[in-house]
Amino acid sequence: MTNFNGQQPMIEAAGLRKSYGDTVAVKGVDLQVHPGEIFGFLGPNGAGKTTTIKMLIGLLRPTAGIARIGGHDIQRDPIAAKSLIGYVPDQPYLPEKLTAREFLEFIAGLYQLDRGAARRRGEELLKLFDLGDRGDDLVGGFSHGMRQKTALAGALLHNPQAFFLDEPTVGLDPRSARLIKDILREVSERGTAVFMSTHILEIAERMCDRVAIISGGQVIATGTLDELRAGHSGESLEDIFLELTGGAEEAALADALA
Amino acid sequence: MLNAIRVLVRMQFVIFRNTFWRSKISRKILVILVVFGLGAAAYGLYQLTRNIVQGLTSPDFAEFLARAARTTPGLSMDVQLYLLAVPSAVLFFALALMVLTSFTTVLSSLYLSGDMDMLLAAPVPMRAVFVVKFFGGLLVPYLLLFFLLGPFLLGFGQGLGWGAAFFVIAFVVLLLLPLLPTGLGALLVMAVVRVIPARRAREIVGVIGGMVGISWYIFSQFANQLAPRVANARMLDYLRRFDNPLLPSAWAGRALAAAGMGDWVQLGLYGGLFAGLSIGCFALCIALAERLYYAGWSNMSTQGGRVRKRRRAKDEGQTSAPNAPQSFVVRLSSFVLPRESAAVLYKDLRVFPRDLRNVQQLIFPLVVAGIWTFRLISSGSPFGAGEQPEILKSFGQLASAGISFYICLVLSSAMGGAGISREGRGFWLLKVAPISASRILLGKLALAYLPYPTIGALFVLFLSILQHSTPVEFVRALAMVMLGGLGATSITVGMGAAFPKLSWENPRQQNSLQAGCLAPILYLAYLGLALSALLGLPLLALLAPGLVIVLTLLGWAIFLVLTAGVVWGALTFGAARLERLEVGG
Repeated sequence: MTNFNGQQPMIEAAGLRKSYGDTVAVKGVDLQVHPGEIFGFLGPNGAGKTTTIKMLIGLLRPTAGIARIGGHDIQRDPIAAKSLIGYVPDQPYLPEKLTAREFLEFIAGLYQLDRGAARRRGEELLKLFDLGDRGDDLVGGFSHGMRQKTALAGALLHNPQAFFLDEPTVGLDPRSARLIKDILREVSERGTAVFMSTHILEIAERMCDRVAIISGGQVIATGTLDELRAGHSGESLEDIFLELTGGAEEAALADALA
Repeated sequence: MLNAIRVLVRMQFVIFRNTFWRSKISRKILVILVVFGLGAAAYGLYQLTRNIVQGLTSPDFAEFLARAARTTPGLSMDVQLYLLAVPSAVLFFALALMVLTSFTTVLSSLYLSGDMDMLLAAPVPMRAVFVVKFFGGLLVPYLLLFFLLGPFLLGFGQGLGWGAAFFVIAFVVLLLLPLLPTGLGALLVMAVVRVIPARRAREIVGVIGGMVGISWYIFSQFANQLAPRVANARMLDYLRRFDNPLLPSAWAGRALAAAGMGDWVQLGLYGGLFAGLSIGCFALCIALAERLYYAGWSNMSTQGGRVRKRRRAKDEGQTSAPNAPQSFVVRLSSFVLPRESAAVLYKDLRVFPRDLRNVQQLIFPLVVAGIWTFRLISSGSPFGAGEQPEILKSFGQLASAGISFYICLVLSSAMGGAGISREGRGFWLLKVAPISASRILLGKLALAYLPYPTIGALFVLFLSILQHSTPVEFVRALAMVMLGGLGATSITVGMGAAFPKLSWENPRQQNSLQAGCLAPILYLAYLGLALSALLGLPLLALLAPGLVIVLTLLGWAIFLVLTAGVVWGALTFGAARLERLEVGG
């Protein structure tokens, strides 16, 4: 595990809060992710993971608090902040009537990348994700996994410094899931801060330098796996997760029903 | 199967109830107002039909018909003969309309609803799903039948003083009427979906439907030329042709008339034929649905999108140069627009023509352009003829500007009105990218403005040549179109961005209600002020001829300032609202 102390955080949330009328979806999240760090964001369904990510990348406006990317406030200085971001949502809606290559060209234009370099990198990414032969097919005809890979290629095209992934391995075959894990390691080694929400605790356990567990809109634990283990009886991340999020009772109930 | 149908119908009812009760109060009020509006329209139709029928059976009309019969040999004087053909004629049109729309209705209902995966994965008989989806698609047709045709038949029967049997049969006819066309539509859909993916089929049908609408529009435009040949008392005889005993609609019409007059034999014969055919068609659908419906759906699930052939260059290992949009317009825009705005424009230029339903929206204004040009050539300008002051004559030359502007406005609204909404659920891409709202709008504005310097300029030139305009008049008309177009396009794009609709399935439903209402109001205000300045001020020169140049220049100055204000205001408003737009919650 790398020690990130003393480094300027690439991703920072300070008191992030989001309310919808009387419902508070996120109740003041504070966290920091440093360059080169893989940060796992865990939580049960409806805990506020996606809402937090969307506030961090500027898709949602926080009711209170600040989200910073590379020191830029995403609300006050959105262009500078967003130029550092790569994002892959859990349900990647892409323009259905564009081909994968045209989609990458569109992204290159949006991020103002050099055309030649973007084209070369786009081809590399398509090949990497096994989409080289389908690059001229309309995205509308792609399966969920292929869309996910196209979105990943688009998100990686500009070498993001802050890489956000919402449930990145959902819908992917084992080979593609492994590929994503390898890519995440590679980009983090190159200094990219990776912020990943996942339900698959095994991935978080094996890949993440640090994790945060959110429940009911609040971060209830943050730290390395060793730090989390220190304060709890369980050995695995699953045990710690269930203990913290109140899932242990449900697990016992499931055992009784089985 | 019946239990499955009951469960599915109950689910639909609960969804309908929840959609209403859990909607915003404004939505509820709107729904209530629509229901009241429909009720009022139904009542009005009922009263109108009843009064007309009573009028037609009055002695005054009988006398009029007798006079017409004296001048038109062969024309029957018996008004009852014509009235009895009315139900057949009306039902013919209703049936024809349903035949035309049934394919799209059934296609959307049977194959494109979001709950299909869940339903087909559940242990529910395929026929039950088919029946529920079939009648689910018929909700709107039934609503229209019972709110429009129902009151008509009610008024018709009451006007003729017919008894309860007529109204009972009318109710049964309305219930059975959609079964035949929709059943045929369902059989066709189940066959087509085996070959063409359902979404593509809907696009194609949408275009065909649009073409039918345009053909109807063209026909109506030339109706004046056609009308004198047919608009005479003999028209009444055409009514009786719809009562042809070979038509199923005539069977229903005759059954209705028989019920009204108490002719039970005729009622049994024609009513039986109509009911037998309608129910038989529906039964055939149900019989075939178990196999065809599932086969079509499973076929649709496995079909991918359009597979495009790779270019030879790529096969040889070269990177794919995106040659498709490298048109003159695109290259030119690269010099004018910032890189990220140009990217938005390139993308839209590719995406727009690939959805046939988008293209369909462009056909209508082009047809209108053709018709108006034809009329302008064939009839001449109303300003051009006779002894008129020079200044009024010059207004006639502005007809080219007006026509060109209108055509471009319609094209521009179709292309740019839904600029932001067209992104749909993919808007997150733009929101996450380092591009400001104003730069996004710049790209959208470029696309929406495109018809003006291209089609608009060519049209002004073409019409100016036809009208023998002077170069000055041509330049003036061109400047009006270009400047007015910029103002109008900014309104279109600005309102579209301020009130986007990102959750749509059909591109024709991309415009939000707010944008659709506000934009035309702002067009009218802007164009009213602009034309007042451009044309109104020079008119004052009729009172003070020496000031004509000053007033004309003043008019143009006001037009310029007004346009600049509108462009800035609309785009700033749109960009500000777009910046605040949140994606997903």
